[in-house]
Amino acid sequence: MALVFACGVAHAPGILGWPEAAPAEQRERFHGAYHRLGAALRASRPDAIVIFAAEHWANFFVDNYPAFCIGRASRYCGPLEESINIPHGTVNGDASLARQLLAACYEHDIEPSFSDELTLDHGVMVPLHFFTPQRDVPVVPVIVNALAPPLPAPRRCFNLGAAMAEVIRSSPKRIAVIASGGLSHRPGTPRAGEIDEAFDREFLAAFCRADASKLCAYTDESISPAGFGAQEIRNWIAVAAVVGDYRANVLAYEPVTGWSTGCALVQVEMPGGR
Amino acid sequence: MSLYQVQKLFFHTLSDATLRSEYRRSPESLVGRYELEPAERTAVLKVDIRALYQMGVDPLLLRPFTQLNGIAAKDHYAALKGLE
Repeated sequence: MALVFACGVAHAPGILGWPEAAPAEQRERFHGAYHRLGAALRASRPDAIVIFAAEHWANFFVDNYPAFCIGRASRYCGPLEESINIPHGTVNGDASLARQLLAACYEHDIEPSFSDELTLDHGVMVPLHFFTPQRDVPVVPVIVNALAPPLPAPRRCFNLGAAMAEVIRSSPKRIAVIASGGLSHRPGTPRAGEIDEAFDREFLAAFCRADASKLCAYTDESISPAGFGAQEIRNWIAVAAVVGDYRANVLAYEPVTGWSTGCALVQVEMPGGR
Repeated sequence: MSLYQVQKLFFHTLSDATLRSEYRRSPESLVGRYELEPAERTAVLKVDIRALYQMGVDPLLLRPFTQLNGIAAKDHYAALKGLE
């Protein structure tokens, strides 16, 4: 089995861009947990990272917005944003793994878009800052549209992850899989800072017990009361399908008003020393 | 209304470093390339946050655009006070 690590993480730009907007105690708890999760990822010695992430108008506009896009470049640039306190630079991509994942999707009747040139924004770069600060593990970004409706149904996101599962689990490479995004948030709006803790905790409970039927039953309508940003739980749902049957633990959940986000860090237990 | 053009302008300005530099050098010059209604052009050039939000500009285009213009979060959100 080549799946060596899996997790779900918040990527709010404020985590690094304006950390002082969170109370010191809350910020330190969250940053500390993120660093511990990063150390755990590095200890799993991954050869590649597959990261399911939203993008935020970094690459796609509504002249042509894909439901899913697999990055298959051998090098990416990022972050796009100048305001998130992450140095601009390059991140290597695993083009070979990306091609395998793309082929597997087509074989399973899902046809993602693909791109040999993506700019990485905070959705990928915030997690990588904590996980691979040396940027020494190549990535495969899998972009899931959580931004420009119509959005792919959560059950389709689950199917996307399921389509990739065999390639990841049987790969000779050691692969870490990351879900990036969520949970409840509505940044930039008059209601920014409102966080739906009940929604977040219910979702985390379903994710942590690998409750596929509950995860697939989410809809745009059932998610939207938690804010438009909560639609990013699709990335977590895809990762749930990649891993399959598992248990996971919440390392941190912080409703951070100053970052306008319900911020979660969840690590999947890897049974059998995977 | 040409919300599409307004959002395209924001998307280009935020995602393309060359166009971002051009915007910083001469907002009027860059804005002039897009087919905006007069009210939209005014709102963009004045960075009228409230008007742009009410036009329907996506919050994840609008807030980065106001950041690009040096507008602090508290001022961004103050401009939206009372809106849905």
